[in-house]
Amino acid sequence: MKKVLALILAVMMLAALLTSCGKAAAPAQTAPLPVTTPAESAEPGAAPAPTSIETLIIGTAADLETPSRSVYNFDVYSGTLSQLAPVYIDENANVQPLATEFATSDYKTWTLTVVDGLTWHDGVPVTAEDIKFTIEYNALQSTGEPQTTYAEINVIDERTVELVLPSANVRHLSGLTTLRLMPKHIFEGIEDMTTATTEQMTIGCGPYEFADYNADARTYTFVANENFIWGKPNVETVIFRTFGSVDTLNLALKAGEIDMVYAYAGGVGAAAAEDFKTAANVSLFPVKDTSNTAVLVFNNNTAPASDINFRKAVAFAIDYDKFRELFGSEYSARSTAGFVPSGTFGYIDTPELVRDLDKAREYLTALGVSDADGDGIVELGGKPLTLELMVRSDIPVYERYAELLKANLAEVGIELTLNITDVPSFREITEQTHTNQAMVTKFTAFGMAMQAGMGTAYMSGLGASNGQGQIMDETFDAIVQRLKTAATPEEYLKAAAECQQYYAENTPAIALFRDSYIQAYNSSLGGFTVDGTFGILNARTWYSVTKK
Amino acid sequence: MKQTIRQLISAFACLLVIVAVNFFLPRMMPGDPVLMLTGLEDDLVSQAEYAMYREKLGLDAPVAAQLGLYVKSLLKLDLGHSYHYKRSVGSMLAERIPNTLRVAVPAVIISSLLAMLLATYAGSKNGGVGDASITGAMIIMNAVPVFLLCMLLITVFAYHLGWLPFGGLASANAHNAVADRLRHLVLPVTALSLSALPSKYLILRNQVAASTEEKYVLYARARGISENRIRYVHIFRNVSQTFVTMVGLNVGFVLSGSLIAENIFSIRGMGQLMTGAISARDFPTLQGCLFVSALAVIAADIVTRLVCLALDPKVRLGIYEAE
Repeated sequence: MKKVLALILAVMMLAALLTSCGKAAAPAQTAPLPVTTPAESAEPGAAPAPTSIETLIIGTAADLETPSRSVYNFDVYSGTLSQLAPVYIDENANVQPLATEFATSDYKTWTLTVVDGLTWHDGVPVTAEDIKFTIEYNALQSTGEPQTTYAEINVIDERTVELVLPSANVRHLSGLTTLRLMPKHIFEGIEDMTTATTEQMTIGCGPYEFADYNADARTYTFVANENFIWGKPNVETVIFRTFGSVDTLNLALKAGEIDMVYAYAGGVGAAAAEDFKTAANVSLFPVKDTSNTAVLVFNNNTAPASDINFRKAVAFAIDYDKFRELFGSEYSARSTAGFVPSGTFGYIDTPELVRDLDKAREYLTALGVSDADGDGIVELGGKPLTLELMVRSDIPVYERYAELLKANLAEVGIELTLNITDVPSFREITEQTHTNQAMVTKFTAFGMAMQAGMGTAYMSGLGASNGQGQIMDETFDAIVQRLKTAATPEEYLKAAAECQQYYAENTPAIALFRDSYIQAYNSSLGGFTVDGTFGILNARTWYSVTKK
Repeated sequence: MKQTIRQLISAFACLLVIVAVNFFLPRMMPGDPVLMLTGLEDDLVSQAEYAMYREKLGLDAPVAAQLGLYVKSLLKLDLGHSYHYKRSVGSMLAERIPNTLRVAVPAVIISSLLAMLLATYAGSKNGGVGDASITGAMIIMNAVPVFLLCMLLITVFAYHLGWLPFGGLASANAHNAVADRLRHLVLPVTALSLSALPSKYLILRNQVAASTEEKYVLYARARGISENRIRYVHIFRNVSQTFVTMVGLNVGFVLSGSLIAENIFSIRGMGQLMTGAISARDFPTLQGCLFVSALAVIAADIVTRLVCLALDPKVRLGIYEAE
């Protein structure tokens, strides 16, 4: 027995040895921040912070890999802390200045002026050359070709750059909300961005400086930049921490181990939001809907969804109330014809979608179907009328949406088959081959605003590679052109209304329900500032957030 | 000695088969091997890029020459380049294998020791209350999937009791690094140990139960040797071959079993790398992971056989063969 005990002791010692053989957890490097009084500046740092929060931990289920601008998750998260874009979109879908002031007289030539006193974290001033360099460098890195977005990029003076578009675009600035500025003096000699060092890859000009990536703790640590033009933010240290699953992430928030959960363009699910309501220490913030949580997107260029009668039949067969009941949060609303979320710039009211099985059957009759064999599934041209629905395997709730859709459509005799695909296959199909018949997916706020806006980048089959809806219709294309070339906001709004009307009449996609972008945080926090793209996590929030 | 050489030769043959499978698999699968190995998309890659990658991967050369190059690079421990992670596979594995081992090694040891103690006790009490209770618990535990076990442990010990962290291998700003790291290891190691325990226990327990009827046990009792000594020295020594073989096989299980645990506990190990590689169809990384796993299993098999030889004089001296 003594030998057994000795053996157990040896095992425990071995375990201790194994734990200590790795790199010790490095403390967050404190950036050399000189002590200064808060800069005299306009919003949001003008008012002194009411309280200072030492550390705020944001949990995420996204994978935190090596910190680098070329890594998607780092780019998104640092974009709310250490990197700045020229502009941001506020909660009312209006573009506002961030790193630059902007002006235009004809919506074709946009003048951006770097805000006074803005510097990179190494102290070098941010200049107009940096903006020009960022646009040109990004194009070269992503396509290997010079940029084609602008007809000209003219540096006017140290802080002013003129971006000349080939034609007027009133919404052009909304595309700049994710253009994180790059320091020319750091990157101009680096031909392949991925070869840059971590220090080079993480330098920014935002209110925080990147301090540390701890691979064992799976965290990014950012420390306050006291030299920032708005002064020192209210939170000293912000840590992003990754969790293995959404369930553990939500439990950690309830247990008070983290202060906020964050999922870009996702928020917390309705079931989690319901669960959080029972936790005294968790508060919810519903951001106005600028994204679509659950959309049924038809491939409008492939049978059977290429026929409007089929799409209408499906639209009338869906039980929208059941979708809200099963999947929506308390902030959800019934879907409306034309899937554009109400927070979108250019949105108009359209009728609510309702379930009407008789009308669904009328449209199917118009399609020319019959149930000759009496098995409950209608036939078209002698074959059962089926719709193959593609869903991504990494988002399980989509399969649940599909199950309800299957039951709904079966009631009018349409057979729905499920095609569960991995992410690379999903991308290949939606961006290149377009061989699917329909899919369930979500539309992000940024995606809805991309290119001509109004979700046209998702729907057009003639433009972007990500044209999931594959609309190849002259009428729609003409609307997209009007959106793209609108010379005034009035012209754009008129075209946007036409666009949404087109969606409402032609049903190329159906929002299964509408919901807010719900963000959850520890109830001891408050005073967040809301951003139309990123919700409560954005550069300005760090100057308004307080601890009760 | 002869046996040892024979076993080494068979292990080497296994290794050759694995190398061949690893080499031919992406080349035999439907689709273009350049796109398969680089993860590039057909429509997005230019002709010049395609040609550059084709040359870089050596796909212009005859297959025999390609195989030669592949083996040569393996000998230099060059496991290829991941175009998805934009890094060499070897460097990624070097970062992650220690993390996997930190969880897997204690799990193998703890589960083996527990299996040994419990199985020997329960087997010697064949049919008793202790045996029924332990065996019943093990059968139930055997039916619990690893992910559920992980979530249960997190819910109880991290969420409700708040004793242990939710995941990771360390805290962002830990003051006592060793203690902090040990705290982070408790839940993943427990989860893996508990998931590896029942299969070992059940096999070993049956062996021990059968051994209690053997004459040598009767003689030992007749000599007045204590029950504990009979159980843990006499009986265990006789079933130790099975035990050692199971522990050896467990290396492969733990490497794959940690795939789930690493993801749930957010540990940046080999299992998590494999998951990412699968979902991104990153063939070079997957090839590297499979090669290293296979090497570990082969090495464990060799060690297992050698230990068995050392433990059992009947095998070592070839008595069975003489009979």
